[in-house]
Amino acid sequence: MPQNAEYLMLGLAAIAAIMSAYLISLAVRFANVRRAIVRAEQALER
Amino acid sequence: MNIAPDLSFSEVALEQPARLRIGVPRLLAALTALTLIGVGFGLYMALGFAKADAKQGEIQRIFYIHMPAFIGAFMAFAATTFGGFMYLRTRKAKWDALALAGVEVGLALAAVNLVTGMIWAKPIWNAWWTWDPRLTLEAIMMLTYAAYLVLRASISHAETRRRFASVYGMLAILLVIMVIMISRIKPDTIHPTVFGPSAQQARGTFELDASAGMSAALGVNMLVWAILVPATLIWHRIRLNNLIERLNALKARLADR
Repeated sequence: MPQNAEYLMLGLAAIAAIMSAYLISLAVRFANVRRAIVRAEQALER
Repeated sequence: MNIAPDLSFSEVALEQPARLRIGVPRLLAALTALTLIGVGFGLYMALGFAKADAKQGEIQRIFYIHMPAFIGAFMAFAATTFGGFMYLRTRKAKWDALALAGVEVGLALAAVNLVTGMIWAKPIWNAWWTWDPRLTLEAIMMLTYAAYLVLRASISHAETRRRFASVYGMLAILLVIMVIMISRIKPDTIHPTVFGPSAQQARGTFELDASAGMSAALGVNMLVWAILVPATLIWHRIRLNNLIERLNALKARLADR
């Protein structure tokens, strides 16, 4: 059986990197929009 | 801050952004937890439960995510097609939000599929990349969906943007179907097919051995990467879109004062 576990590790690292990048981009956008909503609502209450 | 009481799925995910609460709905939180557990269990099935393929060795285990990730991308792009169709029928923005979410999530999963395929190809095909019909078509498919995002960003009028994006998203699904079909209709491909006979020149074929736990590992990961992951991410992305719509409405009210 060929020993190629290093490629499997590389593949798993790539999956983690791609999905983390997307999740972080979502989280950053959520945080920015939430912050802006709170600010806009406070401005409307004033 | 105005926090609405618990809302149903369609109200939270697809309906009026103005009524959307800022916190995560309980059903979505549960689905997210289930997906995370599923990803962990899927990894155990792929790396610990299934036996390594005798011919290909450890790298074959990447298949349990490689193929389901493509099916997940297909599901997400199908959601884009459905969302586009429903938007053109009803002109309700919630369907456009579904279509946009499908493209983003589909691109992430297609990237997982393409990159894991390249890493698998290196030890088996002795090349990171080859201009095989299926690989080339998938790269074109990803660029086509990336262009969908560029198209959206280039049209400022909301109604026009939604209409153009709907038509584009509906047509783009043809490329996904071609990626699936090409290995069965082009005899010179080296990409194997999992179900049904592979082309004669296919390299890297293997038998799905049920007794070695391979079918179970594929089944679990199919459920996770083809259903749970795209469904969860699409729902989160729709919520983001709803929050953006709510912010735009607040900004409009502020501007009117």
